[in-house]
Amino acid sequence: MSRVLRSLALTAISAAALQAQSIPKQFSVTTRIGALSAERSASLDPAGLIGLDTEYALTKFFGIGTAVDVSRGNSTKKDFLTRLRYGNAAVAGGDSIFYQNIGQAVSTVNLSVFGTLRYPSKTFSPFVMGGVGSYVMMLDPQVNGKATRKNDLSYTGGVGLWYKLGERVGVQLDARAVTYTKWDRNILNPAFGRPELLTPFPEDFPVPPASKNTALNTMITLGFRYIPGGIGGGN
Amino acid sequence: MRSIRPLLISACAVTLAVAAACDDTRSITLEPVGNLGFGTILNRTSTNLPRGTALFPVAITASATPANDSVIVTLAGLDSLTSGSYTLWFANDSATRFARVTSMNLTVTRVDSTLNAQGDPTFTPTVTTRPGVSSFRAGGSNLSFRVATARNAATAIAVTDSLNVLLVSIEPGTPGAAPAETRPLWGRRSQGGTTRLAPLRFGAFGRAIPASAGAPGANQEFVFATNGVMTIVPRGRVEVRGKIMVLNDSNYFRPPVGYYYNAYAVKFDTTGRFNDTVYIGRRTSPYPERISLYEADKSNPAPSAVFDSPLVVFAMATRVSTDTIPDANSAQPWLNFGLVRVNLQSKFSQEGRMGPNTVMQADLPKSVRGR
Repeated sequence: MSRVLRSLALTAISAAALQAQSIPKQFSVTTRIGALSAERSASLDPAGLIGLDTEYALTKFFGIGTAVDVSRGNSTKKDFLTRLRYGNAAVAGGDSIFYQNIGQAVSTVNLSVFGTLRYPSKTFSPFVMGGVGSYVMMLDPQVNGKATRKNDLSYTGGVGLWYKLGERVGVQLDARAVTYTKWDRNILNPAFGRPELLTPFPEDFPVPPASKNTALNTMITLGFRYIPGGIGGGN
Repeated sequence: MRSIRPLLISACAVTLAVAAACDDTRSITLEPVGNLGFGTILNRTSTNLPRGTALFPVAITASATPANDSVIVTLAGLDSLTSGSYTLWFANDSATRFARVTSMNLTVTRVDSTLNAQGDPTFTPTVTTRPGVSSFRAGGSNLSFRVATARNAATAIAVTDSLNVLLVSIEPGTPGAAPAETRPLWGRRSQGGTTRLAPLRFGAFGRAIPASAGAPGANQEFVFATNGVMTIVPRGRVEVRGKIMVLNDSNYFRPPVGYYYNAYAVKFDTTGRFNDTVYIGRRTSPYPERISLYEADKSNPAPSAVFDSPLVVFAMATRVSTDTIPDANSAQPWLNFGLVRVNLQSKFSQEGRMGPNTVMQADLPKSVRGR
């Protein structure tokens, strides 16, 4: 904990000492922290997220870069009903059935390449960005009883604002829409395809919204943006 | 020093992010939902379906003394009727000629059971004779019938007509020249072989089944059971969860014309004896349609669950809540309910009063009945 506090203090001191400036032909690095919220049909709960962007400013206005976003949250439990059955209905005494919603931890890495269009000003630089990449979703091996992973194409689009704290440092607030393609929420159900899913009481449990083959995620992050000196041919 | 400052800042930011994102608790993956469920299986019961025998006279056509061409019929497993009446007919093999039996000597045997001081059942038969009747309505699980009649009791039969079929119909009103569409029991001389004692078949005889391509003709039969024995084995489960009881079962014959499937729950007293029977309704198709199958004897109300060929109900269901059943709406729902029955019942009997024709039965576990 003390290390975290020291880091906070150092960040504040460093930021205060620098001046704002947008520098073409230079790399920048942005570390981000935020939250990821999926559309309801994806059956994913909101998740915490950290991200890292590296960008090369082609001109004062345009840049290209790569982004890595790592999130970890849970699947939406109430969308996945299963039952634990004890005893045998065919023998005297029947059986007992526990109805349970089952969720699991979901770790997702989204890798993308993107382009940005920036409108620099003295203090604020609003920008729009768009990218394409791949998401890799890793599920809980204990819950699933096996290693379960899914990866497919993802698209990213977003808007943001960079507030310049100094020549090479600033803070960035952005909102991005990340779409997972070929989405199948059944992958989140450890009991999918098994008889434990069958319930004789379908009217008594809420039905999740209709599934879709894409999952739209809204990502809001706050980041620190740096322009390392001497890298990429800069000053 | 200045060149490494951004790196330090970057490291700090990552540290902050990691510190914020990590937690030392593991996500809880299971969450119980509501009441427990208790399930048990539906088993085919020992038959009490309509059944009996028919003893045909020696002579196929009229003998020298038709009054001696006696026909003896035994019957059991009949519903008691609140409308209509059981009527007997003679017919030829091709079922092109029918003659109603207008006079018969009916002997009704009622068997009541009680428990003696030792706790053993004792049976007390009571015999009632009703001579010269033309039809009857009586029925019940403890009633059996012996019908004695003769060829000349059916005035419409010509002396040259063959008497090869004995048919029991349910006539809703004044009988016509031919039996009405509900023809649930019949026996053929040919099925009795040399003994002339034919087991009665239960189902739908001839054109009582709606005419359609491939349907039985006038002299054909849809046999539900022969002498009370079904050739099909239904299966299913009963599940109770809180106030809700659900029956899901499958593989039944279509009900014969004039019959339908329904279900009852049987409440016990504190000693485990029958205390009450509670009607839990006509059977339906499964979720999500839950369409009433009351008319499945003559039409197909739910093609997803009712087949026309073969004549089978592929799946049935019942879903009830104690909210609508005061007798079961105790603090512990379904307390003292020990049995669930799937019955076949005549549409001419009183709906809601359990008849004798139980097809499937489930014993509810102690977890449900509470003792």
